[in-house]
Amino acid sequence: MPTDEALARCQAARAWASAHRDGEAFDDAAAARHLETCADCGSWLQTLAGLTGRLRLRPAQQPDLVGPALAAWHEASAGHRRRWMAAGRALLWAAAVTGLMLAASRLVGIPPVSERISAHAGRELAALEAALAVGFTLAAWRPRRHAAGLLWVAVTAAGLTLLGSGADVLAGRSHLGGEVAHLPLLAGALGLLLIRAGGPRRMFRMASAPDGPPAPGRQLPPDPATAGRPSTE
Amino acid sequence: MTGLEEAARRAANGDGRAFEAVCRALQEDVWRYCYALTGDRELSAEAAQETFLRSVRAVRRFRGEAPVRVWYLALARRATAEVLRRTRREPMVAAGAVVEELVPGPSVEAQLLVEQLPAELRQAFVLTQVLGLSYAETAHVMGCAVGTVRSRVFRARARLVAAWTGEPGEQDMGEDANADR
Repeated sequence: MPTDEALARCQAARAWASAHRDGEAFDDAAAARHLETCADCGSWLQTLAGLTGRLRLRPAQQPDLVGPALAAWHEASAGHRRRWMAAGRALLWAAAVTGLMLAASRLVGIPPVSERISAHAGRELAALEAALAVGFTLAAWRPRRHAAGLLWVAVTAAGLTLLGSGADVLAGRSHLGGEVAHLPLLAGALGLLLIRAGGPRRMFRMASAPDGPPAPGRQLPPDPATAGRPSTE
Repeated sequence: MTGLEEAARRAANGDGRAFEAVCRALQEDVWRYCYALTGDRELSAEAAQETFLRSVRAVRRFRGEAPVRVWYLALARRATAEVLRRTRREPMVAAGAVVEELVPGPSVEAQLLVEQLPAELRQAFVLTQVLGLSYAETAHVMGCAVGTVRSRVFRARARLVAAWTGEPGEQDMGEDANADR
């Protein structure tokens, strides 16, 4: 009958052997020596090795886990996109209404055209402002049809206006309050950028895509670069 | 960086195809681990599903602190705990459903022994021996110390050998007896 002390030695050596099999133990010469000389531990290790070879834990009929997860993914990103789209359209409506009012008031001479530009140039400016405001109205009304074409026009106009106004304000040729009239243009360009972020990628490649929300839960074809089972090592 | 880690990084940035690739690569591991946690086919399906649904939002916060497989298995542990709480059912062993497709014989008997291990030993055993995680990764998934993993794996093995040879399980030194070694 083995003593408690002998059992404890066997126990410690087997615990070390268990971790060592998994490459998770530092060398322990005493434990290794014990395992070589102890017949009980030798047979224990042999049984363990035989048992490990028999373990094939493969559950049958794994349920489809990917389909529902992908549906949830597309639903979540559609919700995200809808919020960007709604914010973009709100900005566009605001830009369209204020832009049209501003252009109309310029055409009838309120506020008076600046002394630095002629009445003729003022009317031309008002016509361009009105055209952009009409564009914003169309883009706010049917973004999938009209936003893509207008985006870079508005961004270019807003960018150049911002540069020009900034330079004039810095040089003292104009004051900040006088540049408030450019806000509708900036809001419109920002609204179009938000719609671009919120719309499906294709929308800005195929501007004639029909209106309507993206189909929920649509499954993308597998990407050849990422399909299959990447290494899990 | 492996393909899987790269896919997880892209999924975190909102790439749906990368997310799909990650799900496909990990679904079997998550399902196996959930089965090891619940011991029940129906519950493990629910828990694995819950894991992937949670990952839709959670993956946006993935920053590669741990390998993505370890990260998903840790998520699976929390999702399974939630499913078990929700259903108010104790983990149980329903071995028949899972082994039905295996050929009867010594392999099935060995598998049944694993399924009859106490839940925590089974969990540590499956993570390290079936899914091939390191002890450190297993500790991360289980939320315990590496020494506890080492102890649980050994105790699982000791129980398996004892059950296989029909000896009494005198090897078990109690809960995480070797946790500090």
